[in-house]
Amino acid sequence: MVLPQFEYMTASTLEEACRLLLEHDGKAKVMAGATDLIPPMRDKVFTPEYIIDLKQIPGLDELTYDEEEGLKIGALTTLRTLEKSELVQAKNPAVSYAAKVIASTQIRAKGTLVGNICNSSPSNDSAPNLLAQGAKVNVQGVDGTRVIPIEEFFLGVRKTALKPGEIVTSVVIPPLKDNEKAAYLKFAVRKAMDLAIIGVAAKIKLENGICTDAKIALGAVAITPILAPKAAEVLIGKELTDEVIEEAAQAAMDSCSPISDIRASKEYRKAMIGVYTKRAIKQCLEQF
Amino acid sequence: MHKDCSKTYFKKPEFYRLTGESNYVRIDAEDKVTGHGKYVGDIMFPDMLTGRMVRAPFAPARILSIDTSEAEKLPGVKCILTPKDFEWKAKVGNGEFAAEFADKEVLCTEIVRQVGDDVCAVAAIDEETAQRAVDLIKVEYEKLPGVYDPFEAMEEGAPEVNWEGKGLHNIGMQSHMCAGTDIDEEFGNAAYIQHRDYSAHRMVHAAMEPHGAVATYRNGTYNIWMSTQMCYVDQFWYARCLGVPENRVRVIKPLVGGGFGGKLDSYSFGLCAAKMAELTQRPVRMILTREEVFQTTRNRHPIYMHIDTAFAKNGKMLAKKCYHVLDGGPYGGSGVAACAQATLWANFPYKLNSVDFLARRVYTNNPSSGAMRGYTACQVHFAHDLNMQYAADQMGIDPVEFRKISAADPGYVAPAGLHITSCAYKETLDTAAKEIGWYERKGKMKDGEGIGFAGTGFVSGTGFAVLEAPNQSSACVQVRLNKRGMVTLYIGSHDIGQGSDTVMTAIVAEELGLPMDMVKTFMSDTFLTPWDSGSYGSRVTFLAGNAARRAAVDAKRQLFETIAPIWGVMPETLECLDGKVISKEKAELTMPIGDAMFKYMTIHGGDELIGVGSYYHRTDNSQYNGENTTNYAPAYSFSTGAAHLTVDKETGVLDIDEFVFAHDCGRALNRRAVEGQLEGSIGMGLGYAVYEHNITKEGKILNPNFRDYRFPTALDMPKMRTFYDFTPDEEGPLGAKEAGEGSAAPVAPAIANAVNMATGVYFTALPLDPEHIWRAMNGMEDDRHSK
Amino acid sequence: MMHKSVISLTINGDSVDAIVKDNLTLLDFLRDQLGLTGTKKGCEQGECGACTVLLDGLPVNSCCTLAVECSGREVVTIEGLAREGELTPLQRQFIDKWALQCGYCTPGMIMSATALLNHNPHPTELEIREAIEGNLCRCTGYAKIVEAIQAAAAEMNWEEA
Repeated sequence: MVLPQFEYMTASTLEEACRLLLEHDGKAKVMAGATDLIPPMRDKVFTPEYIIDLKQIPGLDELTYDEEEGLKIGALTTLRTLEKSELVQAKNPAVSYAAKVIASTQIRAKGTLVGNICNSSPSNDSAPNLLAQGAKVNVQGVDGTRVIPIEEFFLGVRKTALKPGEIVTSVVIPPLKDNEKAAYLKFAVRKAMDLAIIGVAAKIKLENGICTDAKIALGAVAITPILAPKAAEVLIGKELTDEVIEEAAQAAMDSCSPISDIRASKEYRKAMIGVYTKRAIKQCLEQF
Repeated sequence: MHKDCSKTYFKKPEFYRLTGESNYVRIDAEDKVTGHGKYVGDIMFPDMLTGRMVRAPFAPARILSIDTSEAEKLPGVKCILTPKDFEWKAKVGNGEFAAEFADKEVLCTEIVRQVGDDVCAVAAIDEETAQRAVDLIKVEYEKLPGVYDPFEAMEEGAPEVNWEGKGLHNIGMQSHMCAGTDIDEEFGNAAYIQHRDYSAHRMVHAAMEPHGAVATYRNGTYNIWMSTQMCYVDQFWYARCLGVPENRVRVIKPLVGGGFGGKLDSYSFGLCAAKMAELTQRPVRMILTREEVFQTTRNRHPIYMHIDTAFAKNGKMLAKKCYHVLDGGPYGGSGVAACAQATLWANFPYKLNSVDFLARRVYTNNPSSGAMRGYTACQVHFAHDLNMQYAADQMGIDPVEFRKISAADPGYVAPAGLHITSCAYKETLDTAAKEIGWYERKGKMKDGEGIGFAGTGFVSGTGFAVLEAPNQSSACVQVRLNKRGMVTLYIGSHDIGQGSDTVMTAIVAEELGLPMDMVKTFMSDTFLTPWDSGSYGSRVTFLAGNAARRAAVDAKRQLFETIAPIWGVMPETLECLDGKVISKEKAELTMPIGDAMFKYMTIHGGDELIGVGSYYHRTDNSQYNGENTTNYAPAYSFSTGAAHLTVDKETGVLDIDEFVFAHDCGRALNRRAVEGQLEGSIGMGLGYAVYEHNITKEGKILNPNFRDYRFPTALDMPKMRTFYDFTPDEEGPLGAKEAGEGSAAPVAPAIANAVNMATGVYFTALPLDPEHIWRAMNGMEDDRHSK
Repeated sequence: MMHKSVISLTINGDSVDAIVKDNLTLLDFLRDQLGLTGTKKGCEQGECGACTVLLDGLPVNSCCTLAVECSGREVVTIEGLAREGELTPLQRQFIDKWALQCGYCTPGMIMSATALLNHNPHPTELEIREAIEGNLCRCTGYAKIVEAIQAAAAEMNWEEA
């Protein structure tokens, strides 16, 4: 099947990309790895008249870590880079793991984390970690830059908080302190090349054996990836015994209302949220 | 040289140099690893057009009108076919012997019966233009009531799908196999009787290469390069549907990227490509998209199975009744013999006093079902082996011992008329039990851990349905030797990836005592190579292999009869070995085969030497004429699969620690080829058992892609070990039996039996995906998927 | 109006200049425009890996790559592996180990394995399986493929030593 027709454009600066995007608002798509762009175009899910390739813009493929700011992931940083980076493996293994479980080796060689979140699929594997770890999304528009907290970024299926002419330039994940651990678990039928039936990310802070802060984020159980604050509340202020973790898992299940589709039923998704919330919290604890 | 030919000149095993232990390589391997090999989609002509089909978006429906006017105006559109272009209305079927069952129009004239049914075809200068033309063709439909459940379809008053009013409502085919002792008496005398129901789901072949055809029309001849498992059968149907004699239809099989039964039908797209090549006088390429392959080619039959079984006190199976209902979809095609086979497999691999097996293939508006690796054996063995396991557990007998009590033996003749020749079923059971560690682990497994066995049997070499007429079921081979002793081998058989071209080459090289590169093989071209009815029924190695051997031996005999008088010895004392003709009695008598050939040509006035061979399974067609007993095949293969796994009880996810496969394929002609077949069978069987399911809604497949139709990746495969050194079969070519089709059958039931042990739940339906297992463990209904 | 671009890229070591439609994939460019049909079309959705080529040394699905985005970059296809008639160790081991049957996944499989061994000369079995996780094979059950890649790695390491 031949792709629908479009005009391919390259931008050499961010400003130019934003200007082109605004000029063709509603008719243009931004492209980085293209792996989440070409398959839906072939299915005519969307048929942009213009594609704006960001790959010529210098500096967008950064991957840096700063003890203060945290991990900065550029718009052109590929999932493969994240997966293979020793820096990411050392500083935030959950992010490395979440990159590794996406699609296939070939897709990850081109696809980017920023592209993954901009596509805003409910089951995307990148989002739960970002939500659980309070990431910030750096955005450039024609009138300058702004920062969108990740919990405000996802608005719906294929809908984000980006305004006309805005492009995500990077995502920043705050550093994990010594007393903070994070985990992401994907539940899918195949070990590769599969979409998550559900995904759960957790971040746990422990002080003197007591959980003093926690976040639980869930994928594929709502129109966007979501936080489950009620599950986190169960944990905070307590020693994380099996009973407490079980209670948090129940709270996570109660805080989602998944749908049934060809991949799984809503009952199963909900039950798996319980199982995987438990396992994600335990995986955090195992890292202490 | 006919089947009952003298075996005087057959090479004795002590002179085998090539087959068996030697790791000779595939003759197509270098082409495949360099990317030079040509599959149908790789065949290009400079002025080639691209074809596309216009397909029904829903079904059933009545076609009210077809408007091609807008598409005709589109620049670059060169041809549009509508149903009128096939106005002589010959329909497409499958076996030539069953031409009266042909039930598929090339392009639907009035009614579309399944989603994706063929309505029009387009050829344009490129793919993009062809796609746009398809979008511009307006077909007006009136939706009709459909039926998507075979049981509903059988009810009087259900919508008629493709039924001509004969026999039972919407039933296209029925088989009843009833033989042996008085079955009521057997059940009356039984110590234990059970009644169980099972079902197996819809699956698709998912060969990596999509179906396709490239056609040209030159000098009044259609030349069609086809991704097919049966080019001679294509030739027959193409000629009928194009309204020309067969001498105007040349079908050529290039490399085929996997078939598994999915390329055993003559599909409309190829016919349309041929017709458009004629009308445009330009080559036309028509390659299906992956979605079209899923929706419009063929699927494995979903089958619903009821089994009643009677056992004696010691566990011996006495008698069995079963009723199988097959969801056929709206067309017969390669599904035409599914009923007969679905009763056949219920015999295997056990001895029974009495059988009463009934199978019905029902027309529905679901995607059409057809042949797929095992040809209903995977479904039937799934049910019937789980049925054995259940009985073993109920009677408190060890499952391996229980299977051995009733296991078939060499020389056994079944009430259904099956003559078992070589049979190592019991040995495969013992091997699998030992290798999976059954006796050490039995009774010591932890909660959630299980070991499952399954035993199956299959035909090894059958006909196109089993016929008396050899010309419809035989495999033919010709061998030509030139004055250098180089061989040109012409085979009709179809290598679709399994490596049969290599095996045929090796068999001929073996008999003629030549290195393989002295044998140049030409294959699967209806104008060039001799007749062969196709790759199905596990017939290629057995039938074509025997034919190849006979052709080589026929050549060898003629050569010996020429050389022996020169040496003053008897021809049967000679042999071909290591590139020479030798005397088995006098070591000093040797002659390079090239020299021998030079002598042959000198003596015979310059004639090159031609050897001819054929083979077919000599039996009768009584099972298709309402009788009960037939010997389906010249030999039968037997397998035991064993799985060791643990079930994650919270999620229903399986962790398969190991799969052991013991397969009685007679003598392996190439060890790696056999292992590859068995490992591939485990892969496909695991997919069937756990991962793969065509989910349909009103006949539309909801997951027609590799994202949601998940077959196992390299990470999903368990550790595998295969065992296949059992007794050579006397009739098999150099001792071989089938190794790639029946082997697909024991995988799903072995896994299911292991899951049963691990969970304590007796599953009766496939697939055992995590949610299915989780639901069963939690006592929940599983109504997620429509039938 | 049909949008086209001029591209210059390196394919199997040769400089190639071409005019391509913007909506042309790298896969169709290689196959239909250059006649490099060793790269196979299996699904066109990035889900089977039969179309895998190396783009700047990394394995990518050429069906999910635009030809136009490859300007200035280096592409290697299955046809670019054997040099001066000599097969690579991977190609030879795929032959020797019977790591192919129908062969339709083979070019993509070998490209993924080539990328793996270029970056990781001593892969574990798990790393090999991960490297080919995006290459579906319907025939072999992958066992012989993994064995061939292991054998090629061993051979290359032995040659270097």
